[in-house]
This record gives sequence, C-alpha cells and structure tokens, in this order.
Amino acid sequence: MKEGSVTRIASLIRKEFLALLGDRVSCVLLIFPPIMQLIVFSFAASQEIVNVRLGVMNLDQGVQSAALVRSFKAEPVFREVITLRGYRELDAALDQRKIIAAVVIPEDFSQKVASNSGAEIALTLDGRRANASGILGGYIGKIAHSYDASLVTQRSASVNAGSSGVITRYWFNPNLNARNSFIPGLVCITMTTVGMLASAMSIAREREFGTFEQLLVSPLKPYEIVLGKAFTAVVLGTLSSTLVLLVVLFGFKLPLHGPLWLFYATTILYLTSIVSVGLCVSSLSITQQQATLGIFLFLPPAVMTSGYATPIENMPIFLQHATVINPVRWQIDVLKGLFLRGSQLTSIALCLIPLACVAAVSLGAAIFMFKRRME
Amino acid sequence: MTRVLQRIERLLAIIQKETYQIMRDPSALLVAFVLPVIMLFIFGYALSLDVERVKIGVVMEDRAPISRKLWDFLNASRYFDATFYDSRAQAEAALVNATKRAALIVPNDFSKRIERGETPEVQLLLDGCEPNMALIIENYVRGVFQKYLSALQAETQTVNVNALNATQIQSRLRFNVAQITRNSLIPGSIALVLAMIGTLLTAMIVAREWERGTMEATLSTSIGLFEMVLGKLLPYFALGIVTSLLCLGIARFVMGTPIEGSLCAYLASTSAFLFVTTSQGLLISSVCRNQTRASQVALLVSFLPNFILSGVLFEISAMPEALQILTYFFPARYYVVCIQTVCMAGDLWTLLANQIQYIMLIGVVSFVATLVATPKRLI
Repeated sequence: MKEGSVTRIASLIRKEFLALLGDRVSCVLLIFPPIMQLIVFSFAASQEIVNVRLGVMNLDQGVQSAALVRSFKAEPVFREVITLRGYRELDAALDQRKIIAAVVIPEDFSQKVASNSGAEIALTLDGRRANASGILGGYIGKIAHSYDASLVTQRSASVNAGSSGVITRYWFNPNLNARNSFIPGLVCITMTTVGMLASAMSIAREREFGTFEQLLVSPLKPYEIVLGKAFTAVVLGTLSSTLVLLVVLFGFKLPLHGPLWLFYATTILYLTSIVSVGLCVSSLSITQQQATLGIFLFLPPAVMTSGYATPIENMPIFLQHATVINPVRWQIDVLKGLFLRGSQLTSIALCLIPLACVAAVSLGAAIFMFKRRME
Repeated sequence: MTRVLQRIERLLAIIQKETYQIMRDPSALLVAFVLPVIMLFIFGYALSLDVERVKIGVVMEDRAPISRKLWDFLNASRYFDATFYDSRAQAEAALVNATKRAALIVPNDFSKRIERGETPEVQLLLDGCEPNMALIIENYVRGVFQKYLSALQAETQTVNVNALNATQIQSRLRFNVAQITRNSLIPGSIALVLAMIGTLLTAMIVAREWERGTMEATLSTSIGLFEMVLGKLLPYFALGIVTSLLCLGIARFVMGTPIEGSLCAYLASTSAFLFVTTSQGLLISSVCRNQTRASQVALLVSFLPNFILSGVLFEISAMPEALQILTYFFPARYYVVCIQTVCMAGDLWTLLANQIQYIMLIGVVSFVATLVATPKRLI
C-alpha cells in the first residue's frame, strides 16, 4: 500500500459512516429486525415433535394392549390421543390432518406379549409431513422400547433389566436441547443477513444516485474504495453480532464455552468473506434491483446448503464437496464449536481457511469488476 | 360503459409499460427462472433427513474374536462409516473436533460377560449438537447391536433372551408411500420459492419509480389509483404463474415427484398465493419510497420468516402458542398445506378451499393496504 492510501481509505470510511448515520431508518432496519428474528425464531426452530395428535385403533381386548395405549396417552408429546373405530375413520382423520399418525394394535397383541413371542403393532404416518413423521416414528419406537422394558421388570426383577446393552451418554448438549443446537445457526444467519444487506447495496446505490462519478474523480483507487466500503460493512456487522451475542448469553442463557477473542476473530473473518461476496454482487450490478436480486440468488441457497436445516453428511458426496466453498457452512461449524463444544483454535483452524479464501477471492473479484466498470 | 372501457384501456397501458420494463431488465427474469431451479435442486437433492454413513469411531478395549464380530457388523452396515481407534482418548478427541458424530467403546469385559451369560454392554458417546441426529444414530446402534446379539444367540445359545423379543413396529406411510423425503420437501420448496419471488419482484417497483422521479409522471396522468396498482401487480403475477408452472414441470418430469392432484387445484391455490405475495411486495414498495430500504424490508420479511414459520422444515405444532398464532398471519403457512395436499394427496377440495379462503383474506387486506399507502398526490 502506498503512502496516501491509508489516509484516503480513512476518509472514505468516515464518509461511509456519516452517510450511514444520516440514514437513521436504514441503520435501525439493519440492526433490530435481525435480532428480533433471532429471538422469535429460536423458539420456533426446534424440530422437536410435540403437541401432536395420535390416533389409536385397538383391535385387541386384552390387558397388555390397554397398558400400551395408556403409555401412549401418558406421553407429554401427544396433545391428544384419539380413539379410532375403523379404517375408514383412520384414513379420513389422516387425510384431513386431524392426526399426524395412527397406531393399530392387532387382535393377537396381548396374546403374543403374554407368550413372549414378539408382538407387532402397525403405525401409519402422514407422508406429507415427512420430516415430522420420520422423527415421530423414532419416538414411537422409543415408547415401544420402554414398554418392553417395563414388561421385563414386571416379569422378573432379578434378571438383568431389559437394557439392550447400549449405554448412551450425550456429549456437549447433554439434555439434547434442540434450541441450543439451533441458536448458533440462527446467529450465523443473522450475521450473514446483516453483512450482505450492508454491503450489497452500497456500490449499486451510488451508481443509481450518481455519486459514483464523484468517487471516480476522487484520488481514490479502486482497491481503496472496495476496502473502505468493506471495512464499514464489517464494522456494522460486528456491532450487530455483539448485540446478538449479548442476547444469546443473557437472554437465552446459552454460554459461550470457547474463548471470546476467538468468537470475535472468526466473526470478523466471516463477515469479511460475506461482505466481499456482497461487494462483488454490488459491483456486478448496474441497478439496485439487480443488487437485491443478486443477494437473493446467493443467500437462500447458501443458507440451505450450510447444514443449518439438515446435516451436511446426509447430502450426496459430490454436493458435500461443493459446500466447501460455502462460507456459511464453515461459520456454522465454528459457532457450534464455540458455543457447544468449547472449541479452541486448533479444533476450528481448518474451518477458517475456506473463509479466508472466499474473502480473498471475492475481494479480488470485486476490485477487478469495479475497475472494469470504471472504464 | 365508456368509462369502464376507458379504465380497462388505462389498465392495459400500465400493464404494457411494466412488461416492457421487465423485458428490458433481464435480472427480474433471472430471479424468476434461475432461483427456483437452484432451490428445487437443493431441496430435491441436498436436503435430506435420511441419515446414512454416520461417522462413528470405534474403540475396542477387548480384542477377543467375539468382540471383533461387532466391528464387522458395524462396518458392513450402510448406515455407518466406521473408523477404528486405538484408544478412548483418540475417539474422544475426534468428537471434540467434530470429525466424528459418535464413539462406540467396547469395554474389556465384553467377551467375559458373554461367556458368563450376561448381556454384554457397550458405551456410546454421541455428539449432542444435533439432537435429532443423535437420537437416530442411537436407534441405529441399538439396531445393529440387536442384530449382533441375535447372531450370537444363533451360534452360541448364551445370550440373554429378554434382550431379543422386543415389540416390533411395522410402519407404513399414508401418501408418499415410497417415503422419499424428497417427495415431501419439493412441494414445500416450491412454496418457499414462490413466497420469496412474489414479494421480491414487486418490492422494488414503486420505490424505484419514486427514486427515479417517474412516479410524478405517472401521477400526472389520468390513471386511477386502483388501475395503477392493479396494473403494476398483474405482470408480475403472470410471471409468478409461469414460474410456478416451471417448478411443477421440473418437479414432475425432472425429479420424478409424483403429483396426485389436478393442475386446476394447483393453479387455484397458486394464484391466490401469488396474489398475496405480489400485493405484499407492492405494499412494501409503497411504504418505503427508497429502493435500499424496500429491498432490506423485502429480504427480512420474505426470507427467514417464510423459511421458518411456513411449516416446511419445522413443524408448526411444535412451536410455542404465541408463535403458532403468528404463523396464522403468514400466507405461506396455508399455501404449504395446499401444495403438499395437491402434490401428495390429491384434490381434497374441502381442505383446499378452507386454506385458500384464508390466503385470499390476507390478500385482500394487503391489496387494500397497498391502495391506502400509495398516494395519488405528491404531497
């Protein structure tokens, strides 16, 4: 960097901040709605199954099936257990979404249980709500398992109680609290939204307002302009992230197990990569509409393939490799590590390399596109 | 009569003008056609709750051949991608580094317990960062362990009987019988795409006219408020319909999603939904007379809320009361029900009509709000 560079960039940064502070509404829009969304959606995003209605059709007259039905009714997961009297009622209830699943207990259930020959029950799930049904299927499996266990303890207290021999311990999130696992993801999305909004509009807006020409006649070089704008956006993003961190630490009481300095270091690196992508989009766009549409082309796909909603391991192998260039994916890993696993620098160092690469490449592309548009 | 004709003429004029604008700025077309394809592809192939090839680390503290059989079972299962670790410390480090999701530890009294006729025990450490995955992996491990015990029982007759005769569950799905998660996610993804596109395309229109000063020109003409708003809405509505047909085509012919319902039902619910989303976009545009602000609001309103509150990825019934009430205000919630029903169940008109009426209610409110918010005067 040459001598006057730093002074010039500093003046640009000052101008950007003045412009930003002058536009109070935009500031407010950039900071508060994302945080509100974080708060509200932390409650929504649980992927747990609660409050659902189960239908039960008991074709068996025996005592054991009644016990099984009682164990279903006792489950807090089911808001209501509806008794079904026939297959037609069962199908209608499922069709109209009155119940999410139906259990049919066959006539020989109690008999088979009494003779210890492995009874069967039939479970019909609403295939339209595939994720919910899948999880519910696993849940009902667990209920059946504890029903078995209760049978065994009833039969003979001296035998090794019906543990299937697998003793499980949950690490990092011992209560399997779904909210704890979603909050780091939501924090990441908030950072991403703010970063993109702050950066993507900046260059395109100047073009539409005509102040772009003024920038061109100033002694600022293209790379200085891009760096100056990037700096402003990153600072804004970091501010927003600090507020978010406070909300998470004191509002949701989710402690940051990793070191605080590492949180900030990775956040700044991540914001740099996101802001660079935003600036790249902005430098490619002539109108603000194009810039907005550019954000939309990047943001939803990036968030969905980041492992936030569904784990990356479930993707086909070639797609897993493709997500390597997705900065959101790495930041979610980093944040989960910091919040839940208490990761130190060594554990997450590998995640930081792609972030740095994306930042470098995007900044370079933004500067290149900027130069080209200038000519 | 002539007045009505005049109104229609003016309406057509505005529609023509907006159409030219769309065609001259292909970025709108890019988003209307490219984004849906990307999203469908992601929802169809990338998002999956089917867990396979779980990365599990296995520590054998007992090296007897009978214990090694358990390793063979794990290795052979397609659900596991098992790695052998020499020590517990290594496996635990892998969990901390998130290179493995689970660690199975076979203790050194494993084979001795089998010889004594007791149920052998293993210890399973699970990464709780993804609670649902943890539960699913736990079930898989139990399943493999059961198989192992059954195989032992068949060979050696020394295994505890009670561990074997668990109650079996025969599970079937109503609708979506092949239980391909994809078939259920794709209709949902169409809903999400249309929700975003509808709002996004229209959110910039009026704001852009204010910024460029062309709004003043429009206001000085004899056009009425209703005609102006409707005229701005219709071209994007038509674009949205084309997009929805494109999505349907891709879902049916490229991804092979079976579509049980009729085109009529699909178009009915989609039209209602597009009416709402385009109206809401116009409302945003009229209220924020500034493109930057309009795009910020559009992004904030149409991306995350629809993603989370529509019921596609996260069950609404699992949310707290207050949030469930909030979802009633989001038309995407009703549309997701419609489209899932149309695609997977068929034409259940009572259910569809019920949902569409709510969509239209929100639509009418949005449209009227837009009329109120768009001034016909400069001051």
